[in-house]
Amino acid sequence: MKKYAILCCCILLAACSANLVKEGSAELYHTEYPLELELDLPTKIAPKQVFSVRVLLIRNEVPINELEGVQLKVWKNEQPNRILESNLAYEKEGWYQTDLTLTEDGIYFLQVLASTDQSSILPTKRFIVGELSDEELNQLKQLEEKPDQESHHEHH
Amino acid sequence: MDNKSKQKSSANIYQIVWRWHFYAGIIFAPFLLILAITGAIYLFKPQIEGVLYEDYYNVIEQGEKLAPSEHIESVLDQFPEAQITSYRPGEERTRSAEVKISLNGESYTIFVNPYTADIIGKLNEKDRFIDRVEEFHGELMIGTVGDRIVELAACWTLLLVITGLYIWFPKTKKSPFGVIFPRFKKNKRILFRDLHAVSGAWLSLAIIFLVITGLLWSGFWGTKVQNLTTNAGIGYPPSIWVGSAPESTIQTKDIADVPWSAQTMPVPSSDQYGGFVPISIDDVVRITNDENIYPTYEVIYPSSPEGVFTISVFPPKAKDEATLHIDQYTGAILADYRYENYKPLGKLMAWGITVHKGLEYGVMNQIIGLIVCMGIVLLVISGLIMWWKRKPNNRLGAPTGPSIITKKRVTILLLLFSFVFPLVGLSVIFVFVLDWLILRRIPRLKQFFY
Repeated sequence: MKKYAILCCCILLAACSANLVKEGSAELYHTEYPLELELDLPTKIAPKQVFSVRVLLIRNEVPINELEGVQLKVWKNEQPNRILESNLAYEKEGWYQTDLTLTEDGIYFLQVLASTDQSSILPTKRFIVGELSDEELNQLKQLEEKPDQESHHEHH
Repeated sequence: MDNKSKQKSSANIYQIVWRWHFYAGIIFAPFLLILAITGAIYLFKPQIEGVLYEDYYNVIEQGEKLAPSEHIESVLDQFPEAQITSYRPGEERTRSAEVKISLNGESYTIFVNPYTADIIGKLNEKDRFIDRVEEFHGELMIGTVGDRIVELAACWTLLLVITGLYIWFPKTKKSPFGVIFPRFKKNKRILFRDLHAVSGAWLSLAIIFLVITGLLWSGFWGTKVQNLTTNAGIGYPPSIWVGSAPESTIQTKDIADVPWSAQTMPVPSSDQYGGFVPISIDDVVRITNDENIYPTYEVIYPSSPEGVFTISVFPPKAKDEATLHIDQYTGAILADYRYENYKPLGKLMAWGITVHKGLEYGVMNQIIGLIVCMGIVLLVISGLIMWWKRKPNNRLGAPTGPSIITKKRVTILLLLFSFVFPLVGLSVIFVFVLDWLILRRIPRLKQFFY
């Protein structure tokens, strides 16, 4: 009888065992090492003043050095067809840099395009130059509420 | 043991096995009927939905398809309060695009003409007939409790097949009749016995296959098996059945802010109101197409600022399955799980599931599945008829015999089975306790059941 009681307890234990996927189990399978970036922009950007854009590219915690074709695109909100394009030059230890000057106040978007054989990225950051008019404050509010709308910019 | 004791012991085991087969059959008969009938309908999901939703699916080809963002914009123009949950580009030139939305607590699929961005139709997910059939099949339409009941019935079906095969197995006869072929020319009792036992033997492997492959995605046993195999690196990669997707690589502090109130905030500056914004659906679709993903894929939108776009496709053939997770800010592919990346048990399970659903081998697969479902209905009905014809008045008419506990090896086999299928184990414990506390102690109940 005791043997059966023990077996029954084993059954109950098996039934009640935890239901979780272990952290790190993904490493047992095909793993991607995507390109990652850090983007450095000044906190305050004034119109008509030169400012520096710096980008750090890393992959699997290793800086990507001397990658060719790292590009930048900048456009003002509501003017997606007027795109300023620039190349980012390699500095050192995964950092790439370029200088920019934007003449008007307003809401802007900056997109970094970088590709290696294994991974491509195209992140876009929104930033503000100078002061915003009331109309632009409203635009910002709309952008916050409907983030899909701003992605209508076509990069073909 | 001498010959006579061996024969008696054998006869006792036979009675015990028959008795368990009888009780399991009586109790789980209705559930088996439900599983077989709903399964038979579900097998033909592609054809049924093809007819039901013909007008939503078919469009006339006219030039080039518009960009996905225009389809989304068209839906948002019509339903400004909607939350987009997923996007499915049409897989053929004559197929509509599908945008799934969440609106006022309900889920809808909006069908969009990909050439004009006109809205063709709107379908509430609750109104999808096949989804209701699937719910009935998997959980009797009553959620988690239903799922466990169906699982229990499925696991007990395995015991029914095993005990059934033991009873059917010819011990002395050399004739194939009554074993491989039913005997039609004897009396009705033998006919029903043969229809039940012979069909059961022929269908046994197919039934076991259906049960095991169906259990793989059940809420209790299925989830345990998926967790075990994923954790051990021998199953599916995480995030397909169990486990989470990776998170986007941009830190939360760098993401463009949540809705901002004009009244209370000071003048915004870059670091307060700047931040990364999600990539466009056009880019997501382009990235996906560049990866040669099977065309019927769905783009599932991120559900949080840290979330990812998930590309998910479960085509008819398991070898075309794919799950991709795309960083919603950088567009980088964070995880790429195709069938080739499943480990051996994952591949086996994936194939088993598509065969179970009648998808892997096309129409032949569906027809064979239908035959097995019809066979299960025949098994249940012939079993019930056999019982009804023999049932004495005022008693259940269960086969008599000693308790299973008198046969150690059989008991241990049952307990091992219960260990692998804990819901069976729990139900066996429940039955023994019920038997000991109630059934044996109340004379009328004892008379009815024994």
